[in-house]
Amino acid sequence: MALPNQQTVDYPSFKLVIVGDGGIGKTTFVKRHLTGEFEKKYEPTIGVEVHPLDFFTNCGKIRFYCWDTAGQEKFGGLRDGYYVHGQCAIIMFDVTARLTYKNVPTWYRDLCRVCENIPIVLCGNKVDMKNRQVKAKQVTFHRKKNLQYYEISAKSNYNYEKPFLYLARKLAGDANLHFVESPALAPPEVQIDMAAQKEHEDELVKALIQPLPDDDDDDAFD
Amino acid sequence: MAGTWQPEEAGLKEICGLLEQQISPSSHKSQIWQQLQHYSNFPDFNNYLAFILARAQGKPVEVRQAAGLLLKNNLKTAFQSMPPTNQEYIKAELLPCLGSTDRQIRSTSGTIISVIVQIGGIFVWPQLLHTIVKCLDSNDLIHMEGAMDALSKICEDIPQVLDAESPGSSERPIDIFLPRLLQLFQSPNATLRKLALGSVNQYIMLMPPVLYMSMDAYLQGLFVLANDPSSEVRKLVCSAFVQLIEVHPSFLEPHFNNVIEYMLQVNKDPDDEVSLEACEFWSSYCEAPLPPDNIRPFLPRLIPVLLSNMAYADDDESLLDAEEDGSLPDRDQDLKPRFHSSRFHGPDDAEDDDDDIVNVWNLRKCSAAALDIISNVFGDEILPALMSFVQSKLSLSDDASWKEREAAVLALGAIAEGCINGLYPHLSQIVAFLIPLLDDKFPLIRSISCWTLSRFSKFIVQGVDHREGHERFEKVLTGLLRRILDDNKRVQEAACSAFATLEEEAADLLSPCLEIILQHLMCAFGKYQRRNLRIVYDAISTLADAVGGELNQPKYLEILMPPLIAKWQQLSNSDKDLFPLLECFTSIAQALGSGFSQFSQPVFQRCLDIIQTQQLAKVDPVSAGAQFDKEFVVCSLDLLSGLTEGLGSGIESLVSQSNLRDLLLQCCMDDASDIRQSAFALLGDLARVCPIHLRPRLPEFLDVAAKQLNTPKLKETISVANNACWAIGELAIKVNQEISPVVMTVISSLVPILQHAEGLNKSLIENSAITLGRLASVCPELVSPHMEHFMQSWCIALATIRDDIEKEDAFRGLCAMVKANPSGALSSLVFLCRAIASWHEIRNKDLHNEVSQVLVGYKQMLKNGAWEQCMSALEPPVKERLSKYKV
Repeated sequence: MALPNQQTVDYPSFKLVIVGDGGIGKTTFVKRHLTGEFEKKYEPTIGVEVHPLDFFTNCGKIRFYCWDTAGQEKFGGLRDGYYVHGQCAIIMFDVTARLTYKNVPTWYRDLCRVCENIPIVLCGNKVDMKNRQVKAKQVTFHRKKNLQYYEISAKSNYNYEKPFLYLARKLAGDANLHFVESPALAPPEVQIDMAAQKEHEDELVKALIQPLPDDDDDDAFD
Repeated sequence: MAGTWQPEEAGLKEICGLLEQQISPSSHKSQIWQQLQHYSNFPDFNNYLAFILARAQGKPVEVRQAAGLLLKNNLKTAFQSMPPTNQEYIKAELLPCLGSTDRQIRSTSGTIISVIVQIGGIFVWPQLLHTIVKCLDSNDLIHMEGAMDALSKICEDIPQVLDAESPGSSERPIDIFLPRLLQLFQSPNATLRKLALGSVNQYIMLMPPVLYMSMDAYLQGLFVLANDPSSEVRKLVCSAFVQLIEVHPSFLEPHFNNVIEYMLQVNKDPDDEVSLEACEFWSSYCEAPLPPDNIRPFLPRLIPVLLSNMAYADDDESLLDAEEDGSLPDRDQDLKPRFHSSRFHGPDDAEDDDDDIVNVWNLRKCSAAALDIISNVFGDEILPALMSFVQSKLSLSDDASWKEREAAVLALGAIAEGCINGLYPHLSQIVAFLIPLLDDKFPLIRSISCWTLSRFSKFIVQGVDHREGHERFEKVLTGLLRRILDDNKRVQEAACSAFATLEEEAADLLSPCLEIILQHLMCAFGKYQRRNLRIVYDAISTLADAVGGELNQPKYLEILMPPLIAKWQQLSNSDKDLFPLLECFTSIAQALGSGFSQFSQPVFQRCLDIIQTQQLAKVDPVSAGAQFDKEFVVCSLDLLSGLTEGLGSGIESLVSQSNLRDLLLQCCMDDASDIRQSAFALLGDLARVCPIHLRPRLPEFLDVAAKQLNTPKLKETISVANNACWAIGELAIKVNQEISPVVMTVISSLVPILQHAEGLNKSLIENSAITLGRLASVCPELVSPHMEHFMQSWCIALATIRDDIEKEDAFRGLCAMVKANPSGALSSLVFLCRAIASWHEIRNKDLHNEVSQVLVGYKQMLKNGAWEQCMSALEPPVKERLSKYKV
């Protein structure tokens, strides 16, 4: 089946699900892109909020529809019901709160049960805080599940683009994809083969409207 | 079925519509959620959801899936309290879904079923077991997959539930399932094989009797699946072997050769995830720990595989990072937040260096880690296999094979610890070979060569006595310095960190090269972008710590100071880039000692200005023109401490003309523990060199310091207590009797710390013991009447302290108290003797004699064999040590 209500722009777009415990900074992280402002007050997310975030790559513009889901159980809404048709995900925890890391396996499990074989990034947020409880060496979950891990700070912007860049590369199947400063800028010295680029974009779009893989096809996606 | 629940058509339509809106990206979620909440108050809302999942054929699958997932979430809290008819309705709707033609519906049902089992257990739902068995035996692919989906989720979430005996029977559900799961290992369907294998693997930890009994069949099955066409299955085979090695290695013992042979093969698996999983095997095996003999014969084949896997993969992020233009300014998002750790008096608990590097996990990292462990287990044995491979790789010179050369250099660094003995005879050759690689065309070869060379720092430094060794040291040093000025940011970083390692090893051997080192570091200082600039600051600090007073020569200061001072002047008082500079000055001030006095006045004044501004900013950011950030205060206090330590009494004129005393008192009372921690460190440092300037506020300082020790939150602010405790002791020996008003308050806080030493850090115990002694030495008449309460725990603490001046002070207090109240120590005499015996040598003659008098005094006092009795309770080495004191 096609993905409903997603193709609202004429460039490749992807549904990105952001999960993790309440109060770890998911909303702050997402809003950094929109306003460049650090959200100081904490208002729990109700259910889900969807933010379209655009990034400019050497292969053109892409959009992540970021589904910023509620971390708090009581405001959870559909919870994993929102993961349906997720194409990539960020699992976040707070390095100053041990419990939020302990819950990562549960978030991961729920996510994988709805979205099989999607690229996932694990993010340890708030590395700007001094009272760190989860030391870098103690973060080992990503090793077992073969996830990418980044330490980030939604407050200082540290590593802000990294998770998006990783996911974009995986989704595009191009390890050399990179973000360019702004769409208004001409591409850097490298001459981009326009035909190849077009073909590539077409592939991205095609991938987008492909039906989700059936179980038996799994091997093809490895 | 008669009486079966039926939905209202209108409600059904409404709920489906709302769900559809909930999962569409463009709608007002919270508003729609409220409407959905409205329906959720209906007692049969969950029945609707079950109906939508199971029967709403015409609706989009994602709506039915969302209904199922919402149902699952609701059940977590509502299932137990639900009317039984609804429970039964939902359960009955779910089972047929396992055979749905839609995979999403099957999978969602499996997820819900696992949650229901989690809540109510398995035995109250006999139809479930029945249905799963029936589906598994049906030979219908869809039904088998649906049942396997549910079963595998139960095995993953709550494996123990299937390993429990059925009521009134000794049979367990797993007894029924296991033979079927093992059977499915042979299914032609990859999904079934994957799910079945994954499910059995969940029981390795629990090891139910039926798996124990079927171990042969399981292992047999694993070997059959070992070359499965599906990479997910192969990955699970690897993970089964890794788990078995970790938990029940004895099962694998008869098969070690086959298993190791297989692991060797899948380490080269074309699928990265499989080879990564397989690579874990070597570390697990070595850490188990199992006899190395089984692996030994495989080493000649294993080592080359690990080395090949250590080459950068094409999609490694480091490859693109290394291409970054060195002149590109770093952005905020490139800068990892860093922290200044407040000054601490005592042995530091080593902080781990939070490298980003530790978190990257891939085949390269895992293989290098395995090689590291193997080199530690087998030592030099691996060298023949390794060196011939390394040599062949290093001799490649074409551009295309640069990654293999890089991996060979990495390998040499990885075994630097484990194989150092065997490498030793070849090190001069190896190092000679590595030096030119510092100038390789490929940046990642340059950076890895820096690292590997730094791993041999000890060797490089050891040889400087003879000519060849000296030349080698100089070549490495200048090579690293050249790389510090590399245009590539990654190389700069690796070179600085390798240089820091060499600095620490070489210490004062660096002195003859100081000029050239400083020139390079200061050139880097001018060249680097923000991220690496911090590393240069660290390198300068490390250099200052390593060479100390050597730095205090005009020709060096002329290179070092002007760029730092220019930076210092350029940064505003509220610029965070000031932190590393303040830290750097702290190290320089300590290294230069009185030599720093020419720079001290403006530095001192600026620290005071920053503290003052910040204290104002805390209450009134607008008129202070800055946002409060305690880090500024902490860094400034620590720099003042560094100045005080460096300048000694030379700081007095600066202190006397300032309001430091009042500012410091305010900081000692600050809410932020980091500020208090640094403030008490400075208080102690000032007490040492110019106590006179603290006197006007002495009672307040003592009072607030004592409060730090008497707090229910001691464990949370242990570093503050530690510094406050030390500061009180330093003040006591300077102001003597003036300390007396707080003595008893402080003692009554120190005694419980000494008595409950477990769980507190070593430094606080040491400082408490010393401060107690210092107070006793100043006011023995106040303290000695209470000796009996603390002698034992105090002496235990004293016995752990190494010989130094502070320990001398503590023993002066001990002697003074014994003189005042000899019977107060009688019941703890054995502990007192052990404390005395903990001295290697009391250098101070007077104190030595005093201690001797104490022992002789007790010997004379204790007639009737009591002294001999005490002596016989002591260990021979303790008695031996005491003989120095003429007893």
